[in-house]
Parts: sequence; C-alpha cells; structure tokens
Amino acid sequence: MKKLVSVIGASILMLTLLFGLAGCGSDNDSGAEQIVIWAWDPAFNIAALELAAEFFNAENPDVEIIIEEVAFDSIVQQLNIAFAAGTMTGLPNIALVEQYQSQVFLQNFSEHFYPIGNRVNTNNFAGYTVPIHSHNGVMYGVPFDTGAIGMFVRHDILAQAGFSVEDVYMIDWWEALEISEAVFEATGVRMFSQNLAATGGYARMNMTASGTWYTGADGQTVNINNSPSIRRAVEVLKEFVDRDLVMHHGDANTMHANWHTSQVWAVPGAVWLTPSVMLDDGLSGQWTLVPYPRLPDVQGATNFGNMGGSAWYILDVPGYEIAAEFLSFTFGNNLEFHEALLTEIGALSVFTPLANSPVLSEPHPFFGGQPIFQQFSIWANNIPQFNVGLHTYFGNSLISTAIVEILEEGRDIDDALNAAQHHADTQLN
Amino acid sequence: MSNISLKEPPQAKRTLNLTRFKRDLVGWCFILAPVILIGIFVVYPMINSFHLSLQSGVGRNLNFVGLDNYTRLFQDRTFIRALQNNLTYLAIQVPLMILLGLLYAVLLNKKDLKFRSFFRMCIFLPAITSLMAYATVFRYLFDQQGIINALLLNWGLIQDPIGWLMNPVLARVTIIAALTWRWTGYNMIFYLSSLQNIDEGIYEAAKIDGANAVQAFFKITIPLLKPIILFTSIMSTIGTLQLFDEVVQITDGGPGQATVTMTQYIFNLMFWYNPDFGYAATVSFAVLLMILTLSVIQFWATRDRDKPRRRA
Amino acid sequence: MKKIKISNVFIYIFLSVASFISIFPFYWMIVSSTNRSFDITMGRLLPGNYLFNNIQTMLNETNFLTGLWNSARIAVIATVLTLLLSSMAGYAFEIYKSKWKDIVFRLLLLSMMIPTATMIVPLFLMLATVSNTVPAFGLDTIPAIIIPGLASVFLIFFFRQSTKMFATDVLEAARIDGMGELGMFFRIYMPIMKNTYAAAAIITFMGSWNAFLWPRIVIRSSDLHTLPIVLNLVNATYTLDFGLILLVSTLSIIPMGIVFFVLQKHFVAGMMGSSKG
Repeated sequence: MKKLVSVIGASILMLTLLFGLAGCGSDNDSGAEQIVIWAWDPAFNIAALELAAEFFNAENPDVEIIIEEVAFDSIVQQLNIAFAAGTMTGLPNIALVEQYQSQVFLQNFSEHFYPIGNRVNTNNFAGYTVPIHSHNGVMYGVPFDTGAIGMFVRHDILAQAGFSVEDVYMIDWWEALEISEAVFEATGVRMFSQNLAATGGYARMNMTASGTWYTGADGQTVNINNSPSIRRAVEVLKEFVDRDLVMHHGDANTMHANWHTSQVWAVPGAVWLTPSVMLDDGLSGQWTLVPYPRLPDVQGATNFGNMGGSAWYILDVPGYEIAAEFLSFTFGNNLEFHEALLTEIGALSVFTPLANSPVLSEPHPFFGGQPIFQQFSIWANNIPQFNVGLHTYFGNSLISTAIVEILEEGRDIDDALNAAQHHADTQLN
Repeated sequence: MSNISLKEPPQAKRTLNLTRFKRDLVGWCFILAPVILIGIFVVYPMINSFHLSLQSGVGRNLNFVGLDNYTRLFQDRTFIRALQNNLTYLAIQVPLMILLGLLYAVLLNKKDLKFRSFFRMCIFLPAITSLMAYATVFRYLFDQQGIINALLLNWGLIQDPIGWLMNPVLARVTIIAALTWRWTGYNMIFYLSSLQNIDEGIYEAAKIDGANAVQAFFKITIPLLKPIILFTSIMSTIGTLQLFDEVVQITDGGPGQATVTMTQYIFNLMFWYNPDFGYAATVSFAVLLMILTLSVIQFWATRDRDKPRRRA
Repeated sequence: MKKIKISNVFIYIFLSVASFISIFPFYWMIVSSTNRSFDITMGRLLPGNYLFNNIQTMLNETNFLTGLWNSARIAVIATVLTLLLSSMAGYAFEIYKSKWKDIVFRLLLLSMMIPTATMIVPLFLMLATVSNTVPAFGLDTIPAIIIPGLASVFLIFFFRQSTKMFATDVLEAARIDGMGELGMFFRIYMPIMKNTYAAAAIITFMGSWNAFLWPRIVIRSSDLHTLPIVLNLVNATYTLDFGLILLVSTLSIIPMGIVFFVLQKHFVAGMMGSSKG
C-alpha cells in the first residue's frame, strides 16, 4: 500500500513537472515591446512590412517588429479556429486579411478586431475599399493594396509575330484569341499561364471587370448559372485550352518559370504581380503593360477589374495599442511611406493622396519607362462597383470544380454551371 | 491455480475471497485511467457530435434545426464527392495493399530466398516516414514538371508530360499509389510475424497431398491468417475513411474537389468557409455510421461459420 | 542440389522492383536536399553541393529547430504516458480477468471504431471551453495536444494479446513472497515484456511524431509548432524552395528512423509475441 501511494505520488509529481515545463514553453519572454505580424508573399506584402518597420523603428527604435510568413489560407483558418474557440492565444497582433474574408469576419466576430477607424482618416483610401473593411460604420481594417488588374505583355515576342502593342490595347478576349493563335503559329509561344485546377482568380478578374460577382447585390445569394459574365469567362477559357494556347501551372514557382522562360507572352493579372514579373532582370524592357481583356458581348463589360487586395487588421491581443500606432504611422496616414512603397518595392496601395504625387507618374525603368503605376491607379478608378459578399471562397470552389469538370471530364458548360448553382442553392440556406 | 486451495480451512477461504476481491479491485484501478480518458475523449464526443449535428450556426452561436442538416447532407455535392472518394480509395487501395502485403510476406518467408532481410527492410522503410513528408515527396514526384514525368519522357514512354494532379482520375490514382507505397510494408510485417508462427508441417503435408504453391496459399495460408487479415483490414478501413493529411498535402482536395475526403471536408467546414460546427458535426456523424457499418459487414462476412470461436 | 529455380528468379526480380519503388522516393528526397531548387525542378538525380545552403536557409527561414524540439518532447511524453496507461490496462484485463472487465473490454474495442473525424468537432468545442476556464490545458498548450490521445484502445488490445502468453506462475510466486500488485507489475511484468514495450513504443512514438490534424487545430503560436506543421507551412510559402522542402522532409524522418532501427529486433519480436493466439 505504501508503495502504491509513493508510486502515485511520484507519477503526479512527474506529470506536474512535465506539464508545467511544457506549459512554460510557449510563453514569450518579452523585454522590449513586440508587434507580431502575419502576411504572405515575400516579394510584395512582406517587403512592404519590412519597409514599414524601417520607417517606424526610425522613430521608435525599441519596438521589435516580428514578421512571419504565413499562407493566406492558413491565416484565415487560424483566425477562424481562434474565433470559434473564443481564445486569442498565439494570434499575432496584426494580420493581413484578404478582402474576401473581411466581411465574414467583421459580421460575425467584429469584437475581436481593433477599430482603427478612429486613428486613420478614411478619406485616405479609395472609396470602394472602405465599406469592405468596415462594420456598422466603423473601419476595422487598413486597406493596403489595390488589386487593380491589367496585362503585362512581351512586346518582343509580339513583334516576332508581326504584332505591336497597340494591337493588344483595350481588346476583348476573342480578339486576344485570334492574336494568340497567330503568335503561337509564328513563335510557338502560348498566351498565358493559368492554374487550371484552381480558377477562382480568373473568374474573379472577369466578373469584377463586368461589375458582377458570385453574389448578387445583397451579398448573399449566389448566382452562377444566370450570370452572362461567368458563362462567357468559362467559354473563353475553354476555347483557349482547347486550342492549346494556355499553359498550366500548379504552383507559383512553375508560374514564374513559365513567364521567365518565355513560354508565354502575357501575364494577365493584378498589380501586385509586378514584383514577381520583375524577378527576371534579363527581361527588363521587354514587358509592356496594357489593360485586361474584356469579356466579349457581355453588357457592362470593361477592361478594368480587381483581384485581391487586402487590409491590415489588428486583433484584440495584448499590444494592440502599439500595433495601432504602427499602422497609423505607416500604412494609415503616411504619404512618404506610400511613395517609398511604390518606388522601392513596386507596391501600389489604395492610398488616395498618392494620386497627386509626382512619384506615381515616374517612368518605370523595367517597363521601358512606362509609368505603370499611374496607369493602374487610373484604371482602379474605373473599376465598376461590386459587392464582395460573404461566400467568395465557396464561390471559388464552385467555379474551380465546374471548370475542371468542363475541361477534364468533358462536361457541358451549362450542365456544369447548373450543377454548381444547384449545389449553392442547397448549401446556402 | 496454486495447490494451496485444495487444503484450505474455512477461515482461510474467507480470507482468500477477500484477497481475490482486493486483487480484482486493483485490477479495476489499473484500468480506470484509460477507461475514463476514453469516456471523456471518445464516447462523450461521439454523443455530443450527434447532438451538435442537430444544430447550425456560425461560430459558437448554434441554433437547433432538427434534421435540416441531414437533408442538406444528402444534397451536398461536395459531401457526396468526398464520400465517393473515400469509398474509391477504400475499395481499391485496401484490397490492393492487403494482397501485396500478403504476397511480400509469403515470399519473404521462404527459407530458400537470399537477401530476405534486405528486401524486408526496403519494403518496410516507407512505413516510418511521416505522413507530411512522404505526401510532400509524392506531390513533387508527380508534379507535371516532376521526376516521374521527366523519366517517362526520357524513356520515350509518353510524348507530353502527364498532368497527374490536374486530371481528376489521375489525381486519385496518385493518391492511391501514395497510400499503397506507404502502408504495404507496415501490413506486411503483421502478416510476416503471423506466418512465422505457422507450423511448416502443414505445408509439408499439403505438398505430399499434391497441392502446389498457389493452392497452398489460398487454402492454407489465408484461412490461417484470417484473424490478422481481418485486423489489418479493419484498421485500414478506418484509416482510409479518415484520410486527411495526404490529401491536403498532395492535392489539397483538388483539382476542383476531385480528391477531397470527408475529414478534409469537415475541417474546411469548421475553419475555412463560413464556420458551421453543427453541419460539420453532421458530416462527421455520417462518417461514424459508415465506419460502423463497414466494420460490422467485414466482421460478419468473415465470421467462423463451421465452429464456435474458441475463447483464447 | 543448388539448382536456381526459375520461379525464384522471377521472385528476385519482383522483390527487387518492389524494393526499388519503395526506396526511390527516399533516394530522391535525400539527394534533393543537397541540390538547388532550380536543379530539382530540372530533374536532377545526382547529389549536389547545395546542402550547406539549404541548411542555412532552413535555420534562417523556418521553424525547423523549434519544430524538432516540440515534436520530440511531445512524442516522448506521449509515449511514456501512453505506454504506462495502456500496458497497465492490458495487463489488468488479462491477469485480473473477470466477466465485467471483459464486457468493458469489448465496449472499448467498439470505441476504437469511432473515427477521429467524428470526434474533432466536439473535441474542439471542449477544447474551447477548457481554454476559457483553464488556459494551461487549453488551446495552444502541450497538454491539450497530448491528453486526448493518451488512451489507446489499440495498445490496450495489443498488450492484452501479448500478455496471454505471459507465465502467470511467476506472479503467483511473487505474490506468495509478499510482493504488492504494483510491485509485480513494475518489477516482474515490465522487464519480461520488454519486446512488447519496444513494439508499442515504436507505434506510439510514430503516431505522435507524425500527428498533424489535431496539433494543427490546437497549436497557434510558432513556438509550439511541431514538425508536420513546419513541413506543411514550408510547402505553403509563396515561392517554393524544393531543396529546402525536401531537406526538412528528410530531417523529419531521421529521428523516427533512428528510433526504429535501434528497437528493430525488439519490434519484430514484440509483434510476433502478440500474434500468437
């Protein structure tokens, strides 16, 4: 009996020791103040953060700014996990959140975010961004990048096939198709690279350029099979794939490789791809920027759309005061900072005072002196209004599934879209 | 039992009963901790998940909705796809793996084979990899720009790179290939150990009676190994129906939703789309019912029909 | 007669192909750890001299060391505790056999069928409640990672099976000599069942080392990341460095490999011991 007690006692002691030590392991020994930030894309967002840290540390040297690279879907998942559990342990002070998730978070969990609106002038940001990142009239996120889209083209390859930049300026997709066929015949180069297994981005670019979205005006009802823009976008992609004018990539590495090994002559995408396009110095001067192709025969279609665009959100984790100071000092109010963002990183933000800055119209050496940011900035103002709504990620998966069925399983387009619609109807009640 | 009990006086017998009772109690004490833990972490969640499946809502604001979630479940295309995927993986991968494992075990049990421990080690090696690590490796091996395509192109077997992970069917094939690679060796060891307990004499007798190797395999080996085959089969069934890590890492459920599994769908429902724990619980409860059904079927199909099971 | 049987030749070929297929991914993984990402995408199959660079990148840009440390201590604690609990239970079910205990045992076996998927949602909500009341055991803590997995019905079953072969007269003798029940367990049973413990240790350690889903849900702060999580994150960066990814993959397998090879003989013996009966 005595042995039993002593064994039990020893076990309890051992357990407490182990767990106690284990529990201690996750504490932060913070002497100086710290701001932990989660973001993705080293070439763009993280580079911007490092610049911001420089700016901030110049005035506040003893604040340690820790930047962690976390994939954007991980960020969403982790935040969801924390909000669902109701505990904020382990969350960063600031997280970059894609605009598609903002409303979901704000409408359900606004109490976990710091209302930055009272530190930052909302007029500093492009009109369409403010409602996306606000709730009940209070702004919670600091809008960062625009996500305005365009198309970078290789004018040298086009020239080989006998085309000039004017030939691809403000065109629609069927015109692009004709040109692509000619270019392919002459040079063997396809038009663009697309992840055919995940086509949400492609859909979103085309939808916004026509002023539509997965959801209708109320932001709730999903409309897939009755949307002329979605149908046309799918048709276009199918044509391109059927005629072997598109390269497939499964990840960003391959996508970059396709660009830089001249296997494609166009990069239709958002402004935040600029640093990635610039990764290969050897091609400096060969790229020119033109507007995104519009959807042919769709009412309301334009050449100006949006993909992505995120905002910095402060979480109610200890340290939000200093985090708020950090954001308002840099992204929130600082024109000089935004100018530096543009010139040093090539990051174009939605900061409205930037529009009057001489920096914006500076010729960009990589693009043969073209003032690309000014162009993006002007185009951003031409983006038709759209309501991001609540079901973007769901919409993405609907479109991706439908397109895979159409491309790989030979399913009829209307069939696939109807099935997607049916799925949405039954799931989102 | 000891000889002492034969000659006990009545007093000692009462003490013996007390001792037996005390020992029995000690036995219960030994069992207590795991049983409590299982009660808390397995049984309670199971009951709770049924209760949850009757609710719906965002985050922790859940409202009672009766059987709505189940109606939704039957029309849920993604769920149906996930279910199909799990069953496909199950139906193809598990029998394939068991047969291969048995084959390897039988071959590696042959006394006249050289290099047996080398082969055994090679085939078992995949079993020690972490799921994330080997899934990563397979993802890049089968990438369109990966080594497998490079080798196939080099040897002139194909003209264009195959989009293993782009095509829904090929993506599932890749996953099945990965699973088989990983788990065959593991099961092989179970079979090998059991085989080494079988008396050689049985095979000798069969040979004298004129049976060849194949007949011996099917009429002797398999019936004798039935318990362990059943065991690995059920373990594999449970494992395949709960597939998560590999699918997330190799294809992330893609292309589209072509390879998504039920556990992955549950995870997405919980933390990715608009979190609805009630519905997630519904899906998970459906998974439970499926596993129970399949296990019962497997038990029933392989029960001893000729004689009652001996109590071991 | 040392005639080489034709059938044996086929068998050798078959097994060689099987072994090659089993080994090739390892080879590619290890070799790629020494190569540059670009070369790997070009299909390089020979070792390169980029190993040092990859290691540097790993130390600078990933949480590898933290992940290694966390995975290791979690696996060790989990293994020790699980072995203790499961072996005691398995031993008790067999040595202190009784009708009621057998009923409980069969119920436990039934519970083994319940998939993790079913338990995740309620477990998570339980975790949430605990986090708000006893944070030390809630989200983002090691106890939360380990405790739900401590009771392994599989291992209890395994130990019970192995105990069937145990010679109980040794226990009787000890009992007569006055040794207590616990003493019998620790001083007699455990040393004799070394092989079973070794096999069980490998299984548990492997399970804990490779666990992804539950730790992923529980863990948030980067200080607590385990290796599978580190590996998953390294794969999710914007631009992928294959040399780095495969280096981390290789390194994450090595500890498991060491544990296994050290305990190999015991493992096989232990598995065989449980297969009788």
